[in-house]
Amino acid sequence: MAAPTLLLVDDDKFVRDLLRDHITSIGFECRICEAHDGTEAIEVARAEQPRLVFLDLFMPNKSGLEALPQILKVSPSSKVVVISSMDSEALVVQATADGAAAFIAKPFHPDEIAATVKRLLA
Amino acid sequence: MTSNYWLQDAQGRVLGPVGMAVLRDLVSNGRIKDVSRVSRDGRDWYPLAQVREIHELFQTSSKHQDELAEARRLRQLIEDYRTRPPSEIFGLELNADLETHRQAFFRLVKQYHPDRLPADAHADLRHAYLEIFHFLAATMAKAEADILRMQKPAPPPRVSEPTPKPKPIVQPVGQVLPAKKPPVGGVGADFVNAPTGTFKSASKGYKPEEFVGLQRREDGRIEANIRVTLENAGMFTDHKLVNLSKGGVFLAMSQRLALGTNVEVIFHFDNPQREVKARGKVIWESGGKESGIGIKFTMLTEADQQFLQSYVDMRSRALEER
Repeated sequence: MAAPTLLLVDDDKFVRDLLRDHITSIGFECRICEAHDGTEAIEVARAEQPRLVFLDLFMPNKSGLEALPQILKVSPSSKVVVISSMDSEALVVQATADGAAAFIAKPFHPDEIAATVKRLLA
Repeated sequence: MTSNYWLQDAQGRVLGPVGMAVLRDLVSNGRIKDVSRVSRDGRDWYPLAQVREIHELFQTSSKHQDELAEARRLRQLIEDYRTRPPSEIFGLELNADLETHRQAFFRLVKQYHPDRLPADAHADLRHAYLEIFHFLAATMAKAEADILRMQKPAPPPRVSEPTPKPKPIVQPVGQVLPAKKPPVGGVGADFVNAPTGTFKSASKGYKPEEFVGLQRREDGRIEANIRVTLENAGMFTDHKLVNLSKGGVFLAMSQRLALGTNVEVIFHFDNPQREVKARGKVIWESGGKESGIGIKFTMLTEADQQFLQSYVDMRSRALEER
């Protein structure tokens, strides 16, 4: 069985690198793709059909909130984890209503990332 | 129909679409700042100042951010205070006496009474004010218990011959009373039986109502609860114009009440324990260092008037004996 694909979407390369490090450090075998804004995320999701997407909300060009339903439209089997410093309860509710499977507030702990990956890909 | 907005910061990052409720939540909690442009459809963008409802949201939030920062500072201050003895918190020498502690406590705690906050202050700041108020009150109660435990009981106050019954101060409302000479001596059974050596119960803590004491009741009445000790009983005598002999009392406090305001005053005496209720009207107010209000009694029972006078007399003797 092929290793699952994960898509990391954040305009901050530092955050993408951090996520990559956390995910690889738990020994989870996967292929990791990246996108730096909502528009690129939709294109990569269409092409790669990732099992899991880590999606920032506050990005240039197209925000994560706009990209979220479109990612799920082009890649219906993807599970989207929103990662954002905008951890307002109202926004979590909105993101969840739009199809997000989980919400992780920044700054995040490596254990949160590991636990979420294991839970959603189990 | 719910309006949606897109916000863009100076780096070109976009958040949206979000409704006003989400935005209000994000802005009030400081989650989003430095927004430069706003859109109502994700296509046409306007400077923040041109979208009035969002602009106002950020302006209000700026004030709240300052208040949240102040709340954080106060909580940090409490944590800092926890590591210090009461005398250090109140800025006193380690062996300062009880009254010095009380005065320092009052000076410090005045700053943190929630009534000092504007009505629209952030709830978190209001809560922080209460936290530090109660922390200081608990610290004072502890200091008081410690000091009293180390003190030897003082001799009982001297009891004199009974005083001739004085007349009521002001009856009915508005009647001008002649100044009268305070009776000599004259204390009742309360004083004879009163415990001595301490001016108040050490086990009882200070509460906002006990200290500042001004409350607006549900029915709109203003009620002032005042704790009276031998130390602060000068409120009845020290003011030249508003004093007990002229049918009133001067209450040192930072709050202001309009002249003519009707106030119900409840004096809580610790030694001897007694509660005296009076009604009065604000006839004097002053700011600055001597900030306070003068209340002229409009209703005070004869027995309570007698008690107040006896208390003042006993106080002057007690102070002379020190």
